[in-house]
Amino acid sequence: MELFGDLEAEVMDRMWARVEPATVRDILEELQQARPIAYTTVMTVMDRLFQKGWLTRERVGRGYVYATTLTRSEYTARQLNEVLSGTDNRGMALLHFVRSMDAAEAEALGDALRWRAQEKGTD
Amino acid sequence: MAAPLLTGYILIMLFLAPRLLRAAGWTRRAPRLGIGVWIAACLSAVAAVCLVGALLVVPLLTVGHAIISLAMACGISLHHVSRTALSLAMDAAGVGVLAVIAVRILYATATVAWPQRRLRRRHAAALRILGRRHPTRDDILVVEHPVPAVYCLPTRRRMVVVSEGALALLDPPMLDAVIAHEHAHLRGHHYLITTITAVLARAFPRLPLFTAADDEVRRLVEMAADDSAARRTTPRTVARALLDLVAGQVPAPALGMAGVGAAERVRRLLAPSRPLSLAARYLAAAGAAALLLLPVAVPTVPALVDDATHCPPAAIAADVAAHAPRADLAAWHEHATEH
Repeated sequence: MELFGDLEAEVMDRMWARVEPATVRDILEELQQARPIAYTTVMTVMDRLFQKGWLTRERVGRGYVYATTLTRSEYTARQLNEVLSGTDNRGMALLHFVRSMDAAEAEALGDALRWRAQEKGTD
Repeated sequence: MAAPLLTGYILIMLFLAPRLLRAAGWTRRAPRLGIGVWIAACLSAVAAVCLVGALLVVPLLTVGHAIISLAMACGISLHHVSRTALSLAMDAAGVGVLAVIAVRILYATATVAWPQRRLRRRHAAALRILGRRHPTRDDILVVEHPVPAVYCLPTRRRMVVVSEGALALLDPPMLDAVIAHEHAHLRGHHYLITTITAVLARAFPRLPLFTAADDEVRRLVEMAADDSAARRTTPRTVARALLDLVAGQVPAPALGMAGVGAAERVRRLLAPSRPLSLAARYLAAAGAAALLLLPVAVPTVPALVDDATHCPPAAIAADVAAHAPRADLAAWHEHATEH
């Protein structure tokens, strides 16, 4: 499973870089410019990306034409919104370096923030 | 005799201990020890309640002997007790206590720990496609997003995620500090620790010990990670990174997210208090150990005393020899019986 992890990222990079939809062969040819890779490998990876919802596809002739569902930044925004809206105990319960804070917390930090602003001026 | 003592202990642990521990200033001076004591207190309270449940079913000495047998890796032989209506009722109550604890912990794990783990794994899988490598640092994953965010993911391939918004705010020393902070979380198994307290808080809601432990441990893991980052860089660098990221945050009062004591963390970094003395550290560590040992000691100590008074050493030797018929033990046993 992990084998395809980096290849999935690479295929998505190619898909996002191009404007129009692509067949497996289109992507294969692009990837082959960097190193040898088998058609079936790319086909498997693109099928997995379709199963996971990263790509849509339409049957054209004997094969499929693949397209991206969202742009990279749309996907990233969606993931980060989930990260930023989660509370400490619900959602993913991530350990953040620091979260945005409420008014009381900002008030408590007032002096420290002013100190930091002054210090930045003298840096 | 043991039951009222244990009940008193449980009540103290559930209601008084969280107040005392919360008020104790030393946990902030030695956050890792603080985490240890909070976790020990939680586990001790759960173990004590389980022990009360077990004591309703079988007598104290039997529980003690069972623990000793377990420790010596021998078979457990529960003494047979005559069944009366009262003993049956006590059996039912004891099994009930144990079942309630098991069911609540399983329920909380299924509703807290599993979904969180699933979401984190899904997120990590998405980031493997969306994230980019940093040009100079290979230990972070950069995501294209303007909001400053820094966090870590404890998945198989451990990740420290930094958004472009955060990168823009941090100079290289501050970035070092932030990454050191996140690596401290991953190295210290802070996800596991906070999951344990979150599960207990969910399993036994409204009990001050578990809600306070969840809250405090969450603060203390941040302080422990800050300390680690401060040792690798400087306390001022960590404080500067905190303040710059905070100043760069878009206020989000609608979401009601309070940072985990950011103000307290900054104050702590800029005006560090004396580190805890070695004696105080040992005392705290001994306290944590005592909390963990107490529920085990209540039944085992009387059982050991019982063994010592009722069974002469030769009989114990015979018992041990019977369980593990080794030549040296058998010889020692013969020697012992000659005298």
